[in-house]
Amino acid sequence: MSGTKTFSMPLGPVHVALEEPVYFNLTVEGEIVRKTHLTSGHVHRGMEALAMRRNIFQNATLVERVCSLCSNSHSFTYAMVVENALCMHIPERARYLRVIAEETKRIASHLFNTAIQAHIIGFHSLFMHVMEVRELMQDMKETVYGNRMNIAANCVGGAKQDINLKKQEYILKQLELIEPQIREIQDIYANDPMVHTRTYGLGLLPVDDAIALGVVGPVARGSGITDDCRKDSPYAAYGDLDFNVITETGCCAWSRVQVRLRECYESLSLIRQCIDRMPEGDIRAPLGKLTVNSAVARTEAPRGEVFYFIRTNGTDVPERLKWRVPSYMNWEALSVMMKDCNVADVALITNSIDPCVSCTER
Amino acid sequence: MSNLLNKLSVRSPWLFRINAGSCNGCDVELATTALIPRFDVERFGCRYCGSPRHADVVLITGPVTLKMRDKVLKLWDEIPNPKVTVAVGICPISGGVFRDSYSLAEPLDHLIPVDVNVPGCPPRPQAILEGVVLAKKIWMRKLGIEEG
Amino acid sequence: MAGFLKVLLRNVLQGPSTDPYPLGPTFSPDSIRGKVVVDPTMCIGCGMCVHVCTAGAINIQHNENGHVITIYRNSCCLCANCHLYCPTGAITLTDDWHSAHEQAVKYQQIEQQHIDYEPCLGCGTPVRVMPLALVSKLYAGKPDVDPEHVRHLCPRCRQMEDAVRTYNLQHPEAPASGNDEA
Repeated sequence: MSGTKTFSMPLGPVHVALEEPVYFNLTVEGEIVRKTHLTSGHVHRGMEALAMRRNIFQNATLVERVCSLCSNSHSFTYAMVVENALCMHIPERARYLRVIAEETKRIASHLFNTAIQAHIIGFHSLFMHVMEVRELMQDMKETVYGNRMNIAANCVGGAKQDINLKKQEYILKQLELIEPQIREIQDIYANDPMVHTRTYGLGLLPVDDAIALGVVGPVARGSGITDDCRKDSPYAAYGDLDFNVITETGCCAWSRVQVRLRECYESLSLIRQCIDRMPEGDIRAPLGKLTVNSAVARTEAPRGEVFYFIRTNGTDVPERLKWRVPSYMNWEALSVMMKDCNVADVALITNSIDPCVSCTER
Repeated sequence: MSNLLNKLSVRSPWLFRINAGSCNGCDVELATTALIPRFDVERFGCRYCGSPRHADVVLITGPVTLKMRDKVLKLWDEIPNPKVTVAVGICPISGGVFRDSYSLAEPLDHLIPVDVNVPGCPPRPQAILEGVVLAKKIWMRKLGIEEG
Repeated sequence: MAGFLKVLLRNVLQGPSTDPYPLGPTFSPDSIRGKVVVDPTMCIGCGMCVHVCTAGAINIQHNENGHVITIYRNSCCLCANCHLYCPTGAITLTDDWHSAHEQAVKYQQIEQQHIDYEPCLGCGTPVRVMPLALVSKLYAGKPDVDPEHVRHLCPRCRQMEDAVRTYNLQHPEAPASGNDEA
């Protein structure tokens, strides 16, 4: 390309490769992307305004619909922030139940992202295989909680439903089935030449940039930053459980997927530990006193740190409910990752941060 | 059963999916229904297509946000007749949990004629399959092939 | 590549994993959250479900002879808040997930129960007859109370009877000073 000509290439908002409506305007020079411009707001549903019109019980359901892939993290953090504002202490058993729900969703979410990566690479048989493995998790959610996506495990004060012995046995059985499959999948993603050549070294986010941009979750951990709310400020039962924070130092799309898949093992072990150590007892605490108060809470969602703020005014309708989602931080990193990449890599790099448009735009 | 099979194998409607501001739940379930062997919507001759101009059945998820409204209408207009519109999830049907928000347009059936509703939050893939089979029946009725 | 070839071969040997549905049976666990139903013998029309329903799917209409509870399936987000917070356990989620329907029957996708009131045995005003299970629970420690009689009383007459019983008063018309403790 001697006479450098740039073209602008629109992508979206409704496109077969996009799960969610976003409008990309790429400025390309031949095959190389020189500039990306993003128009968002298609999934804006005015949820923060809605949350200020609904009461605290309704909001537990509303925030679960921020995004269905990390739905449990939202209702979890929301329940925590309300409990902080109302000075409530939840029963010990509920803490463990919450961890089980959260880790179940985490495995399903990570497997979904991993599968989509194979889909974008064009490795459809691998995509289908990972999705079939994910179905084991989906069946587990449906059998234990009653829904495949919005599991409604949390309510203000504890957990909505108990997991009895029969269900515990079922969970352990499903985990037994899924563990070797995930190990196999991790090996394929790590060593398969097709996946490796396509993703290794792609979408580089050096450590300095990662720190400067404040990325969170597997994107940060894929760049070698040890950042995990579950360890940094233990909540629910995480303080009593043993697990490792997974990091990779490759700073690329391959590393992020490896972080996600290796986190699945930690999640499997966390669920097993919870079932093992879960004490008997109540699963819900009575509602605390509604006063004028404000509180914050943060948890580690599959995509990174979710942060909630609430201000109550003595009624059961919050005066302000505000949340920050991990994708908001990670979106910015795309400009670093996509610098001078090929057009064919745009979708792959975007997927590597596990973007959630509906979280970010809510 | 063989009668049902006969009915199902007459023609192959192609599916097109529009995300009108959904929370991903229904979209992920649609992807699961369409793309993985477990639910395999291709048994009914259906497959996803990338262009609205190839589509026969359109599946719409999400509560139709103001920003997506015109795009949904434009895309829907590009789909050749006869087409069947399926509203997946409670959001396009009634607004669902986002009901009364300032940033939503109207429920889908105020904007375009809807043929099939599949409520649920999200509906499970089997329910979506039921909806697709029903949509196909309506599509064939519209084509005048068979009385559903 | 060998890793995935192994998986492929195993999957081929395993045979198709396709769920035969809708041409055959499918996996559907009992605990699935499906259509919401109301037990008309238990619903007391308190409105707690309306208060906690995020999607605004529940409506309760009161009139002088009873109340009507309607749950719109096309609005219900299956979060089970109503089931969780219902004080009498009148609302349950069934495992009926078959929800696809044609547009023509959109507004018939409802669960509706009419709960008729009966005259109070004390004063005759129409009153919601209390569910027997609820009365038995409320008066569990009081064997001298006839649940069948008490459940047909309006709250005021019930308070009167409670006061009479508690303080051994002679007439139900006696001053209702013990109301608060009743």
